Amino acid sequence: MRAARPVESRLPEILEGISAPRTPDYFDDILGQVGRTRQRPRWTFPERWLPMTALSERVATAPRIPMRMAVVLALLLLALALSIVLIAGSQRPSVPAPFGVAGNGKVVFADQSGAIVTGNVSDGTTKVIVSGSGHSRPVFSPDGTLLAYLQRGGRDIVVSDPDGLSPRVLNTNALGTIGHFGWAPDSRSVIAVIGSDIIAFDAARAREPKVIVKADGGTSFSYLDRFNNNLSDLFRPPNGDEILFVGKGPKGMGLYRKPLAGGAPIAVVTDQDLDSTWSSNQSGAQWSPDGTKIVFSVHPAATPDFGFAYVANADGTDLRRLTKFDIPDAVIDEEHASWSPDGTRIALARWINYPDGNVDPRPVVIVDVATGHEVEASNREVNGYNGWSWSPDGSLILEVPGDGSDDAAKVMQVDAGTGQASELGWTSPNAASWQRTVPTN
Amino acid sequence: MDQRDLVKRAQQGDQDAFAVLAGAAVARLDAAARLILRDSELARDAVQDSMVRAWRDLPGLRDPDRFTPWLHRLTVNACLDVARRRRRRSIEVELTPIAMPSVADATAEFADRELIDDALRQLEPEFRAVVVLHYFLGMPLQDVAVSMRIPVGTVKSRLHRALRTMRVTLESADETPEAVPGGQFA
Repeated sequence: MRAARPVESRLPEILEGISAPRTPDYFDDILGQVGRTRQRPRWTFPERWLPMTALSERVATAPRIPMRMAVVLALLLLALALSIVLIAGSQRPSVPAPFGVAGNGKVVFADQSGAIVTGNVSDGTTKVIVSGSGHSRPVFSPDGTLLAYLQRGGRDIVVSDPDGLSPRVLNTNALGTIGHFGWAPDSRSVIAVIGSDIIAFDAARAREPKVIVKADGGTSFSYLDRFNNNLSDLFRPPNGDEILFVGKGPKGMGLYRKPLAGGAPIAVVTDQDLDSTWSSNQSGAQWSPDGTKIVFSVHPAATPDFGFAYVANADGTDLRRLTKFDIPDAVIDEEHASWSPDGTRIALARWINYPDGNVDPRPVVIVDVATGHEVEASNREVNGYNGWSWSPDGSLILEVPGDGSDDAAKVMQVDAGTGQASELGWTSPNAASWQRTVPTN
Repeated sequence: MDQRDLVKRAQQGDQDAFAVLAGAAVARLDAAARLILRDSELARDAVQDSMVRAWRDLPGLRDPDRFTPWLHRLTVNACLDVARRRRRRSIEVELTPIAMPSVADATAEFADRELIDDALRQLEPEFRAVVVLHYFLGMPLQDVAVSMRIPVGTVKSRLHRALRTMRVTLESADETPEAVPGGQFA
């Protein structure tokens, strides 16, 4: 018989026994190699060379002009601007609003070879729009008119037409590790988090990259959600004037709002409100589509690796756990919560951790925010997810089950009303992005 | 001198400071690499590569307090690179011998160790890496996710699958009659 303790509680000592740590006999070789290797100069790291224009920009001082002339000039400029808007508006196709419900366009994903592929959910057809390897994280702009993705293993940011044509690289030097990646709400800038700085890359390449939020260097904080493909979620609807981050602020460690125009962070929920373990890598926090509420996962102090999903108003009031799901003695873990485009439902991942050490990863759960009614997507065996996304009309969820699942890397569509899941016949290591279009009715 | 000061000195090109930092970490990193790769020579390649890379890129480390997790990440990534290169040829090579048990250690615990060793070998390196980072290097799941650049949900999924493999291995051993010398079953 084996020892009665569960395997995970004995693993540290067993691994110590298997590996028997000792200083390896090649340590001197390492030091020799180090002695022959030059360090990279500091300026070669991306965080050092990206222009810090946001921090140093100053408004140019205009020469003094007479008041009457200024009024006339302003009226003329206003008339000119209005005519430009009217002409442009009559020529451009209408685009959906950056937040809320929209029509379902194409789906884009990187396949397992590293090519960029678009798919049509209605008939299951696909088309490789960017061939070759090393491409990843494609995401449509909120207005559906552009596509951004990474190439060369994440060293370049590329923007193209939605069909992959007219690609242009937005950076001039190879980039470092990119955390968040997505679009600004106005669809004019691609947003990437490098280090702890949020950097906007002009999609038209008309301007230099601009740091829109810079870490102060003394406080460790992270922007949410680090692994979410769609960074638009980061900006508060409808104006995109605030972002969310987890960090240490005036009210302790917790979830804060940061106004992009500057000013002190505003506490939403901190460890003063919840007996919780905040991490610089929370598994998700997201604004509701109307910008009035936030859903997030936080880890109770007693079980720091497992989190509950909570909903609160943007000012932290009306804080409550999203679901009432509970199993006596089991630890419930609810993460990666994501609002439906109409703001009425939230999809989340759930793990049930039983006291005997068994873990039951459940299929995606769709929760009605008002009533708490739940729909669990199918009864398939899953093992967590590599990502999911709501369809812009809120009727479907695209999901990619995680490693080790029978359906690993298969892009599945789930009916958000019934939970019925079906395979699309596509494979991708990560989440897919759905193009937003103008609703047809 | 504390680790933060050593890191700062090493960032400015002080090789002696780096030698102290590396010396304090190398035994554990070597053991972690052997656990992930299940091969001493490949582990040596991975640790050497990660150490040299750490020296080269150290000036780019913004927060000296993050040196240890940063070094863990470099080592795990080097292991996975080595594993990916090796996977193309799919060669199973020498396995690190299990440390000989002490007298007190001789029975069930040693048997478990062998079984866990077997179970680990059945896992893909990406799964072993998660187990090693969390259970051997003691990293919280959130940090494992950051180190491996995967969602925390994927970390949990991999851990779930790895633990399940180990439990199944241990349970099936419980159900199998124990072998006795001479090749007979007891």
